[in-house]
Amino acid sequence: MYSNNEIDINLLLNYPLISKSIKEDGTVTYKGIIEINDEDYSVSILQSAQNSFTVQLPESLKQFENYFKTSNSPDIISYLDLIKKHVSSNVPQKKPSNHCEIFRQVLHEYQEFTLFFMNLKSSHISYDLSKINVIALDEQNREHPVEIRVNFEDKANIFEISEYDLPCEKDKFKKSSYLKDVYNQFVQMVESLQPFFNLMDDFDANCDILDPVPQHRRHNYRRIWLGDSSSIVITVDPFKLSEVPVITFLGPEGLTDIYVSMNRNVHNWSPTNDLYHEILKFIELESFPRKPAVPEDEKDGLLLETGGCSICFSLKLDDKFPEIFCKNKSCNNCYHIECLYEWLESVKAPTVCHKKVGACPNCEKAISCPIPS
Amino acid sequence: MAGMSPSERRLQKELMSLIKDPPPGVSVDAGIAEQNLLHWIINMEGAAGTLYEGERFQLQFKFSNKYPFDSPEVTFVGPNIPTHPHVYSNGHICLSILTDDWSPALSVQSVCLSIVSMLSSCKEKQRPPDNAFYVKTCNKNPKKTKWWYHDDSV
Repeated sequence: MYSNNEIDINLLLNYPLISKSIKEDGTVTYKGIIEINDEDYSVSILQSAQNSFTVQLPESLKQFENYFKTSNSPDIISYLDLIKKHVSSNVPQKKPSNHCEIFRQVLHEYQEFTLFFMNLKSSHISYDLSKINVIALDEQNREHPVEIRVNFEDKANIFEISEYDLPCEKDKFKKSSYLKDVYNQFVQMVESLQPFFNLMDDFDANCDILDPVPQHRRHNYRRIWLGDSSSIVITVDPFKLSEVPVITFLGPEGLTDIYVSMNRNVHNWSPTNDLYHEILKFIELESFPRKPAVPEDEKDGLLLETGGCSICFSLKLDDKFPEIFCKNKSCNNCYHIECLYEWLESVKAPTVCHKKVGACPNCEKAISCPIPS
Repeated sequence: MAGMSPSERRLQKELMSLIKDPPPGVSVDAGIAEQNLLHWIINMEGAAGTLYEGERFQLQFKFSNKYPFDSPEVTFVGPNIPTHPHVYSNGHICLSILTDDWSPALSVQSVCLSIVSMLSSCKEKQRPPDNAFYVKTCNKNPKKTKWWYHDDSV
C-alpha cells in the first residue's frame, strides 16, 4: 500500500500524462493519456469517496468499459495497470507487414511463366504486382484474355483467376501458389471448349445474330434472324455438345414448322464434328436466311425497326427482345412483356390464369400477356 | 440514348422520324421539341383538293411522362383554328383516338394523319353546334372533357 503522497509520485513516474484533481465532496478525478502498445488513449477515471473506480474510455475501447466497472483495485496505479494489461492483451497490435519475400516469389513465378508457355499473345504484370493480364491463343488462333489476381495475404494461394470470357463458373478454377498451375487450368478449359467455340463461330459467320450483340465467348446461345417478325434461339451446353440443343422459335406460331421437324428428327440426332450442319439438318433448313441489307439512311428514318416493340418502339428493353406476338397474321405486331403488361394493366384488363387478357394495341384482336417476372 | 426512360426514348425516336421523314403537309418545329421533349408544335397544311387547301394550322402536342400509355393532349393553337364540325374555336378536337380509343401503338405521326384526314373529309366548314356553350364551360385540358362521339362521317 502506498500513502497518498507516494501514490502521486508513483503516478507521475508510471503514468506521467495523467493529472489528478480533487473536488470538495471528496471525489477524485484522474484525466490524461495512457500509452498501450505504442498507441495513445485518452482516459478519465472517477474515484468515489468509497475508493471505487469508474473509467471512461475512448470510442475505440468502449467495449472494455464494463469489464473495468466490476474489477476491484486498491489504488489508482493498480487500476491503470489493470487497464493497460487487459487492453494490450485484447487489442491486436498493428505490425507493419512485410511482403518482400512474396514480391520476389511472384516475380520469379511470372518470369518462369512467360518463358514456359508458347501460346501467349501478350502478358503483362501490373506495376504493383497485384494482377497479371494474359491473352492466350487457342489452336484456331482465337484470343482468350484472362486476368490473374495476386493475393499477398494468403501464402498458400497467391494466384487466382479473376476475369475471363468463358462459359463457365469461377469455381472451376482452383487457386494456387504456382502461376503455371493456375494458368494451366485456364488453358485446359479453353482446349476443352474448342468444339463449342467452333460451333459458335459457325453461327456468327453464317447467320444474322440478333442477340447477343456483340457476341462474347461466354455466350452459349444465339438468337438468329429468320424473318421480319420471327427468329430462333439456339442454346447449347458448352460441356455437353453431343446433347440435343434447346431450340425456341420466337414469332407468330403459324409461321413455323420447326417444332414438327425437331419432333421428327429427335431420334436421328447424331452429333458429329460438324455440329452446325447437324443443327440445320435437325430443324430441316438448308441454311439460315439472311437479313436483306437496309441502307443506313433508310434505317434512321424508320420509326419502328424490324422486330421492334410496337409500344416502346425499341428492339431492346433492358436487354430483352419483344416476346409477345399478335396471333392475328395480318397484324403480326410484337411487344415486350413489360410494355404490353403495363398497357393492359392501365386499361384494367382482367387477369385469367396468371395472364392479362385484352386487345392487341394495334389490331384490337385478343392478346394475352404473362405477368413480368 | 443511354440513361433515357423508355418513354423519352420513344419520343426521341418519334421526333427524329418526324424530322427526317414527315408525312405530306406535316412538319414539326424541331427547335421547340428539342427544348422540351414533352411539348411539340406541329405545322399542318390543308390538303390539296379539300376545303382547307392553302390554309395553315398549328397543332400543339403535350405528353405526360406516362406516354405512350397515356394519350397526348392535342389541340389546335395559333391564329388559325380550322372551322370544322369537330373542332371547337378554342382549339379542342373531338376525336376518339385522343381519349377513349387511344392505343400505345398509335404515334404522333398517326395522330397527325388522322387529323389531316378528319379535315379532308369535311363537306361544310362550320363550328360544332354547341361551340359557344362548350368554349365557355370546358376545362382547359380537352382530355378532361367527356366527349360524345356521335358522328364518324366527318
